[in-house]
Amino acid sequence: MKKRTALIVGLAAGVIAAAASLSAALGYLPVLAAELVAVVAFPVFVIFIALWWSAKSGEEDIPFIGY
Amino acid sequence: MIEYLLFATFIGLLFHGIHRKVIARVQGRPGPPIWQEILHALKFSFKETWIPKTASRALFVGIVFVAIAIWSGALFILLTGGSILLLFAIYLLHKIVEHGMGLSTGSPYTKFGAIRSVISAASELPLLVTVVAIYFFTGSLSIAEITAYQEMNGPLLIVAFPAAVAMYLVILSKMHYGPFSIIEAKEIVSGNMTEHFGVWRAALEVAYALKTYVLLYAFVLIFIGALPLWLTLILMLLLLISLSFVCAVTPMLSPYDTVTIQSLVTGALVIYIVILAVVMG
Repeated sequence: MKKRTALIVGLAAGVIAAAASLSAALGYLPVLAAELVAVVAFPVFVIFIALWWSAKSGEEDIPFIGY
Repeated sequence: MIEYLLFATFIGLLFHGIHRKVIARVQGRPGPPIWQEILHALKFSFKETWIPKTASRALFVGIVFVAIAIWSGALFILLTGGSILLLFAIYLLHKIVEHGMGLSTGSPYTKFGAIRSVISAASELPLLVTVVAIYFFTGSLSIAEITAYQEMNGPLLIVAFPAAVAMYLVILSKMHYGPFSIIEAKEIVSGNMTEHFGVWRAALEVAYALKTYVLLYAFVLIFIGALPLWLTLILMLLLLISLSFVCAVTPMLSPYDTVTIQSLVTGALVIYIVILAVVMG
């Protein structure tokens, strides 16, 4: 998976969860529905954001492999 | 909703750090700083991440998502005052997660962890008995109604003390470095988590932080009642410190001894339930 894809998926999950939370707070979405969205989106958010920042950018130095 | 999950994750990781600190101090060691587990989760999230060649890729990755999702759901059950039976179901699902995590990798160490997780299924029995005892007193399995009952009649911790002890044992059986932590014992490296490294381990740390938060919060809600957040957090911390003391002074039991002890506790509680049934009609 490309680094950029991981970032897009992670951010999308975070934004969806936050939007659901806000919608529930404003009364546009039932609380149960917002909770279901959070249950599904939170793992995606955590894992894909971590995959994004742990992914290599492709510009690293060649590691030292001994003399 | 996501703010609750982030808060619970942060507090859960902090509690894990405090748990390690208390164990170390009881054992006469300086121990790590209390924010160590937060750094630990971050450290894993920056590490190189891979999937072993022998692993079932879908299960290996999917189980991590499920681990976070079920404890996120459990937190919302508590917050909305849902059924205690749903909490019990999630606890059973966690057992499947532990088992699936171990079997997904193809490593013999993780498989041993998975098998031990099945052996330690006896730890669910005290929880089942706790549920029955609570129903005897409150006539309900809804957390909202259980907390309402306690506002009227006082904490269940006093009147249903044996049930609280059983729930305490259930939480103890899920604590790291505890007498019942046989699935992650050092003789099988890290048990069922051995091959989940990098991002996968970081995500599992998040799931376990949520689990610790939910179990401690459930104990306070079910046996003491609905309190202001700051007071709830203090009680959760005190409960955690008492668990840490037990973990610090108790050696890890052999797999069969864990089953024996948990079964004996369950047996004692079944007798308690029978007495309750006779006395309360």
